[in-house]
Amino acid sequence: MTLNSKYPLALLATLIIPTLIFAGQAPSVMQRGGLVIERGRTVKDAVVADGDLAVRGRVEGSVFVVNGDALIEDDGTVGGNVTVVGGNVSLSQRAAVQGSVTVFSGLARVEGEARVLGDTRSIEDLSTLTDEKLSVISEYLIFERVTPAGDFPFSELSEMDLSRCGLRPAGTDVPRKLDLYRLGKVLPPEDSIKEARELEFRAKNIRVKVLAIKVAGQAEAEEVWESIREGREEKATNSVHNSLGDGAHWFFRSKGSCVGAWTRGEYIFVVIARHDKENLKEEEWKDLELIRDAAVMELKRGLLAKEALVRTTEEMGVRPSQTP
Amino acid sequence: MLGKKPEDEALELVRSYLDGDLGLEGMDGLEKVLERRPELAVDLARLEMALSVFSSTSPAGGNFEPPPGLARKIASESLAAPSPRRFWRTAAAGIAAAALVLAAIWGFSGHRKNSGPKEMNEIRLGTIHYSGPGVELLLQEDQFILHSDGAGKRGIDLKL
Repeated sequence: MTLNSKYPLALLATLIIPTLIFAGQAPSVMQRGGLVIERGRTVKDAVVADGDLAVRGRVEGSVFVVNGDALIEDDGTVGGNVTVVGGNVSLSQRAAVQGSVTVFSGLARVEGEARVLGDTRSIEDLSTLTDEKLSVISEYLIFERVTPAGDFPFSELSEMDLSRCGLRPAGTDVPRKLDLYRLGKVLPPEDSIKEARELEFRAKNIRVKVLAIKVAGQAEAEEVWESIREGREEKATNSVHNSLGDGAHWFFRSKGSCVGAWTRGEYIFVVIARHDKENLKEEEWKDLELIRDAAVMELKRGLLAKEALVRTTEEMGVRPSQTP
Repeated sequence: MLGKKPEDEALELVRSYLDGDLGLEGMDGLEKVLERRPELAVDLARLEMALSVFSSTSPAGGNFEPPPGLARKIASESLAAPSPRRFWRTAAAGIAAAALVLAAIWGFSGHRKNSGPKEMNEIRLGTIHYSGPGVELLLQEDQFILHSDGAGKRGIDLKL
């Protein structure tokens, strides 16, 4: 073999090896507002709320759009399903979808030589999908699954303050299980918990619990997540669960409680707001959800504040352990 | 395929078509019908067949007596010698309608595992429980339940 003949091989290796290394590492994109996956760009999943999604590149996984249109343009490809709720789907010439195309309250248009390997279905007028339900989907579909950076000590969470919601602290604990009030308990696999913290807040008729669990790894976290879902999904209402992208999140109502939970990596966070009554009026549900969402925001802010602090100190050349 | 007596079925369909039940006149409107009301695709497929049955039985067979209005309509639209321009326009519309009908029937039959032009397929409403590869859907009277990638797998699960 001459030296010259090795160049194509080297070139091939240069091109292929990084491709293999980075294959499957495409990030997912979830955002509120319009999104364009440009030609040459690859993402894992694409989820959009309140805007249109245009795919000119490649989505390896699924596309989900609520309150907007999905446009799979020329040479745009989707490896999984395309689902649109409250909008239309349009597949241009040479677009390809390897899964199914499903449209609720909208139309599906498949042009020319566009390919859909699965089924194409659309329901133009869906009476069960009211504007109110659409807004709930839109509100909770996109959620930043915040996890702490580095060796975040869960003791930091004790500083959480929900007094602006009229809730006073009612104790902290280092639990070995997730106690979800009326929704039962979830027991993580034995010895899998690396760190855990439970905070409780109370007002007159309402209790709020914040649970933070760090387990040995992502597989263990997924197992705990499945345990949280198991048996509760059927009883839930106003339920939006999104497991596309990295991790998963779930917002729902059940038995006088509303829950916001998310997992990513080895972390699981659950915020549950519980009313003394099980059967609530719609206004009471909405008030309870406001409190839950405020607690979720407060928890995220606490986690992010610490992360920001760690980043800042790292940038200054100070080790996180040396920070106050 | 047409059920009882083909002629009766054909007459019924053609009559409903010509009576304006579909809100349109002439074959040119078929595309618009399908765009607006894709659930009619199957009926239109049967109408196509009905027209072909009528065409084959009425002029030659003599055993089929269409009502006067029907004969006039068919004579003016289908059997009268068309001008070249009208002929090609009608032919193009007919071919397009046939393609749409075939695509719709193809979709309804569940065999869509290849490429080619496709048209929208519609799930009829009511209380529906659909479960298929990739998507699971429950439409109940007051709930919207969707598992975008199949229950228990990665995806979006909604229950509202």
